[in-house]
Amino acid sequence: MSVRDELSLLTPRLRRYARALMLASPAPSDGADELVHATFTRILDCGLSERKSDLIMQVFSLLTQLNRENQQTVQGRVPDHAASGTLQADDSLARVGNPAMLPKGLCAALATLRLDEREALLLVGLEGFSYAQAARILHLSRSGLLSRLGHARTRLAETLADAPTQASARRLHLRVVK
Amino acid sequence: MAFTPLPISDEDLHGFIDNELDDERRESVLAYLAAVPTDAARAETWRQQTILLRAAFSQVALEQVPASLIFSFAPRLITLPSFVPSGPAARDAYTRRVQRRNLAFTIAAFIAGVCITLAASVSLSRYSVHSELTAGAAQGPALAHVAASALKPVDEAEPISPDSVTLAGAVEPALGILPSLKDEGLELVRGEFRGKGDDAATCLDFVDAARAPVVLCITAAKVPGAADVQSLAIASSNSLYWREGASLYALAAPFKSAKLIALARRIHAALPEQPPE
Repeated sequence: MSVRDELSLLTPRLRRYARALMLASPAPSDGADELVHATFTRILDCGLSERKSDLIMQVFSLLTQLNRENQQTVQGRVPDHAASGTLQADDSLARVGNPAMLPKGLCAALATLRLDEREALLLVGLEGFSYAQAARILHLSRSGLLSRLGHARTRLAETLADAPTQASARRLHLRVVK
Repeated sequence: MAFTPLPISDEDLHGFIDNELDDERRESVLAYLAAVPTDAARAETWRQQTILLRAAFSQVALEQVPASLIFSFAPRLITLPSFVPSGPAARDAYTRRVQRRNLAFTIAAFIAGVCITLAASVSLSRYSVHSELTAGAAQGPALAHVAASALKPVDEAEPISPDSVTLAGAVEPALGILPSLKDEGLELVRGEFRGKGDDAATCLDFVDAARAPVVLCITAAKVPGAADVQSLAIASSNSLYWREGASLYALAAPFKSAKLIALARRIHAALPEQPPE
């Protein structure tokens, strides 16, 4: 299988990672697709690894790097929420893909994470990379990765734990219909 | 000298959740978690996060890749040098000819685009009226069928590999109810996208205290005002469905009807309120 075939197979995963990383939302996004496109363009210009595992990590690493560069550019324009790399919970954005899927839970919580925490959580939790692979993609030590992962999971749990209290007061009754 | 096992750290707990520990260390962590419920609860929360994260974004991997992305890594075409006549007068004439041709192409493309858009909008409006009427009537039972067909003992269920995990943001409304379901003795086992085409939905698999499977499927309601899904409706002996804002929920479990209805009502009461579309 050629390198370009490998890239073709990798595209759905990259789109998923890009959306989660950029928007913390599974909703379709031109911006995320542009990030994947930019990754392909850059990696074709820089040269490709012939080894499959290296190629995958190379591509994920480059996409992560390009997203950081984008974030830094955005920081200059929107310093309020981008300074820490967190995202604003964008209801309209997440409703684009599926109007029923309100971003009140996981996506909103994911958006509150710092970018470095989100990267670690997504590579391990969403993309299923081992600690060694994720650390290599992020150019970190294993302990550095685990530190970010730990912060991300703790913060995510705290944010999600607040969600049910907002709904606890609601006690409507469902009527059974035949 | 007696062997003293290393103390269990947070790194071990993360490694346990992410399958990064060797067998010996894993046994140590299991023993530790059995003895320390607070850390067991934290680890369980992290495990649920991973399941929900994968379920929430798994739909993206199933979407069709846009052509623009496919072409971005396709082999680049060899470009041939264009033919430009020599001599100033010939070059001017050539330039004017190219400009006229470009203008003609632009106008033709615009007119064609307008015609195609008009034709498409007329035909789509006819189609959408028909499809909404037919789809809305059958969506609830179809979702309940997806949930019921997923009912099988957890031991028989195929483990989900990271690559096969599928789907999207449908879990969002359910995230708020997970702690409540835990109070009901339900443990989240997996989350994935099931069904095909219009019947596709994100499903969360739970097991109760007796290890009986409980499946909760969520999808977008196609017709927000559909009368058949305004209330809780029984789809079969072990499945039912209801509408929650703009989402459609189906619950399936091998319980008696009364118990299943009671569970559906508790889930409904615990869900974050969603505005109708």
